[in-house]
Amino acid sequence: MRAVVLAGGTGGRMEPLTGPRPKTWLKMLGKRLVEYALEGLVEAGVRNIVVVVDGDYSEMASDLTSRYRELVDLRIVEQKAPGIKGALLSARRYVAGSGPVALAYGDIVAPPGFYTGSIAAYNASSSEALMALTPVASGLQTYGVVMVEDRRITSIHEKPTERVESTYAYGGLMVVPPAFFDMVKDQGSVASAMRTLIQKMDVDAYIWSGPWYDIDEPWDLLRAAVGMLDTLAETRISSSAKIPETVTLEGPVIVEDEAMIDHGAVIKGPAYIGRKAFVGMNAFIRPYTTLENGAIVGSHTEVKRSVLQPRAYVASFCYITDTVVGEEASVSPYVLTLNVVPLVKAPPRFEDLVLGASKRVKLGSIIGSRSKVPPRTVLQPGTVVRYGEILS
Amino acid sequence: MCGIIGVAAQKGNVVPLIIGGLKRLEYRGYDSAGIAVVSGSTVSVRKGAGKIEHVVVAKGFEELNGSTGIGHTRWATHGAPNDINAHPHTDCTGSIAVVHNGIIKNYAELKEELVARGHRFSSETDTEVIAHLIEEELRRQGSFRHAFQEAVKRLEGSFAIAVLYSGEPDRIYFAKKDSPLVVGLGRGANFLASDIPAFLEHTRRVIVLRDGEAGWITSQEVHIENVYTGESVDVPGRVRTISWSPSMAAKGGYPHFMLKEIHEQPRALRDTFYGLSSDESLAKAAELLAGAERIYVTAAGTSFHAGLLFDYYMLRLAGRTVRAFIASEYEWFKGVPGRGDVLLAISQSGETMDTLKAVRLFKEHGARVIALSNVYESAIPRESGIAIYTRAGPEIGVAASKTFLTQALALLLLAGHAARISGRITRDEMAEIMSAASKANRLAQRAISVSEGVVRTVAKWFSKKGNAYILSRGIGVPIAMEGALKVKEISYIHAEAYPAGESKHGPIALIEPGFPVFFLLVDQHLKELKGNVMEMKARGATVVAVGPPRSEILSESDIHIPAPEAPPLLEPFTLTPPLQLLAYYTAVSLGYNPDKPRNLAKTVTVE
Repeated sequence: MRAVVLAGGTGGRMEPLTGPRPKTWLKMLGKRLVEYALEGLVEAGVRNIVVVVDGDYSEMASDLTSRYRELVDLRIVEQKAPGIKGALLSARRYVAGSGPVALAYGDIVAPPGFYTGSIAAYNASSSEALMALTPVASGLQTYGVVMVEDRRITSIHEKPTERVESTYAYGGLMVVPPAFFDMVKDQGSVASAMRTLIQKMDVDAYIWSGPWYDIDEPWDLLRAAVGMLDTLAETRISSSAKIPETVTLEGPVIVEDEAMIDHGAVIKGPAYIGRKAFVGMNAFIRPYTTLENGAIVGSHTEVKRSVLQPRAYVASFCYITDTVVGEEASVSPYVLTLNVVPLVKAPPRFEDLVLGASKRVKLGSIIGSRSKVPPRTVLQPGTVVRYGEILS
Repeated sequence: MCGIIGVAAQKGNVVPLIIGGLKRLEYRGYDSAGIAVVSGSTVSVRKGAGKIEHVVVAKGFEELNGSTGIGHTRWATHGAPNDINAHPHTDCTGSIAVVHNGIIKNYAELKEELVARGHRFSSETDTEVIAHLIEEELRRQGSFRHAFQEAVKRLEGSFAIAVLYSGEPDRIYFAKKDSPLVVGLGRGANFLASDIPAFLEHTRRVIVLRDGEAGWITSQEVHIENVYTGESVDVPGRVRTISWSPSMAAKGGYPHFMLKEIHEQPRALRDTFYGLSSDESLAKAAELLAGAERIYVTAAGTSFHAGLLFDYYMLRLAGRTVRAFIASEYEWFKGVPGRGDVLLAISQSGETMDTLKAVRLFKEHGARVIALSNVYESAIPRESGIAIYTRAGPEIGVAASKTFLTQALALLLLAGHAARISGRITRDEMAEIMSAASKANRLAQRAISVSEGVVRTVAKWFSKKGNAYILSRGIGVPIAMEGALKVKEISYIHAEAYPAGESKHGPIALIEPGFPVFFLLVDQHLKELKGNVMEMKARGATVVAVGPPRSEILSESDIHIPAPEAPPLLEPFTLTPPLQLLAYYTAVSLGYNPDKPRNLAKTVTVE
């Protein structure tokens, strides 16, 4: 089988974290977002992949080419027109001919089983197409909501404003005949091409009930980190990590190569400490925290349920919770994030909304990539520091 | 549901391959098995009733030898499971052998026509008409291929067929409509089977056939065409490579059988509805009930909860009181039943020992017995005067899911017919019940679709709790009991069901802040339920409302698990699936295997 991976898409809600680069270049548990799709597809037996990119993609192109060259026939294609439609049309000529094509969105965080399961289900079916779906609890209005009858898809409702009798979100993965790309060309939008596909052909539903996160806005990174860390079963520590005996590690924790944890630090899992990340003396890393490669947490700083992108720097004596810190952002000493917001102001996808018992949701801040937060700043819940912004 | 397999090999003996395939298809049926091979230009058949392993030895399958053959494992629908009704079936000359999965709807008229033309039938099955029909067509057509095509075109209903013919000893002919059939392309051998696992160890290259497709395989060739349009199928373009492991293939890609079976409920309900609409036993059973002096229902576990629904349906529709009792308590009734009484015995497997004992006791007292089972001609149906069957297909998860709702549907139809016969409801009212029952499958589908996402999240919260109450009123009470049973069985959380009004007579003493209390919202009792919700709220319980969005209840609830709107009497089909999913996802959150709950067995054949 062949595959097209949509890895473009800059700006929008993710802009504080991405700047000019595609959002699929963000990291989650040591992997670029786009790699979740690539690894899953490779494991599913796909050997021919077209990756559609745009924006400032040169680093991405050379990195992916060099790392996946051995595994698959990988082609990087620049998107000629905006949007998903533009991306699909740019890939169209590379997937002509016969045989099905797996079409994967590069901003989905899910384990390889999502890809292997969907493609295996397609191969065991007589239908011409398949869509992967996942049951979601909240924020249905932000997804494509799909109606199913007896494992067949009967309709799809893109970002519905009215109640649809389904909790199945389109999972950002489908297997289609090449004719689908012609439908995209002839139709006004990808959504209407999908509707045409469902009308004209048998489209199977593959319902995936494992972890699955669509990264559409910065808060989604927090949801993904929590969900993926929840599946950690055991601690894994690289032999090249430096961890003195005075460090306390509790619960499942991954510590990657050359990470350094200083005396007295306490790390409560589930947590992820990336390659060459640094945790200072007496720092406290609480559950559901991920430190991507080269991220730094200063001494005496406390971090809870937060995502630190590569080389993010949080100085000493800070309190960071329910927060995303962008790549190479710099947070000065004594910065505090406040994190309690009423239910009504929470982003729609937060599952806490379903469990309304607490009537509130915890959200800290989004600290944009390459931004600077000065000492002693108190960041109110839901604060967004823009890309490269220097707060005064 | 039955399993079929065919193997065409270039050389060697295919019998071991067929037996191996049958063992892997055993989940599709296990009441009888059979095999046919061609050697030279003779078709030899061996078949019999019983488990595959047993029949293979008893009937000497391994004495046969041939490089082309077909096999079958049966789950009876027309004709009892015995040696004669086992497949393959042959024509009058014994040169055509057929195995079939599905139901030939017009078999009675075809049989009549063929008998009139002098064909001699030996079995009671619908399948045998296929063999004679091909034989008949062969007299008129120039080739077997055309005779086969013409015969297939005359079949109505659902079928996956594999056919051997002594005149073309290296070929297996096949056709498919509404029943599954897969072609496997191997080296030096090609395969046909109802399901991929049957030949997965020999080849991973498959073509999953579509409705209306027919053709033949030899060891070297695969030909497929649409039998109705004559259009040829591009065989190489249709080949797909299976990447599933055998266990994943058996689960159809779901992580567990239980989730697969929950999702199969719409189909099982549809099959059960159509199966029963043409079943005369249902009317006979209803007549018996209408004329009964006293009506008893007995069952165990999930089937007992279906029995309680029957109790409710009989009271509401037929105005009859029903005494439902747990089968193991049958000794209470020694000396009680009389000749005019009727016992309804419900057992998915038809083998539940306690239920069987109750049946025997009632028979000893002269009572008439109606059985409701999912397994054709199993012990309880055999010992009962009338048997009605659900068409859920085999259920592999130990905790019952699809069998419960198919039982509920069968019992709704039974109560409706009994009410009509006794004149309690009008013809129009009966038509209304039938029309509502025909939509049970769609209601169950909507219930699954609309709740699964929410339930997955609620289960994460629920998995941290040790106890729960599930409360409702009226028809909701048996549903609550079934939900509590599922939660106990597979997530090992202590859950109890009560009529909501009963909760203040004791159970409420256990409520403390954060104690989960689920309320099933049935429209007839919303006002009273609201009072019960308030009682629980006042004591700090976390209230979970399960049902359609009723603002007066939701405003007082902490969590809402949605379910679709349902007409009266059909709430079991909308309120049960969310609870099944809750038990399933809670078990998975806790790291338990929902398919194999500890200390439980699927069929309880001990007292």
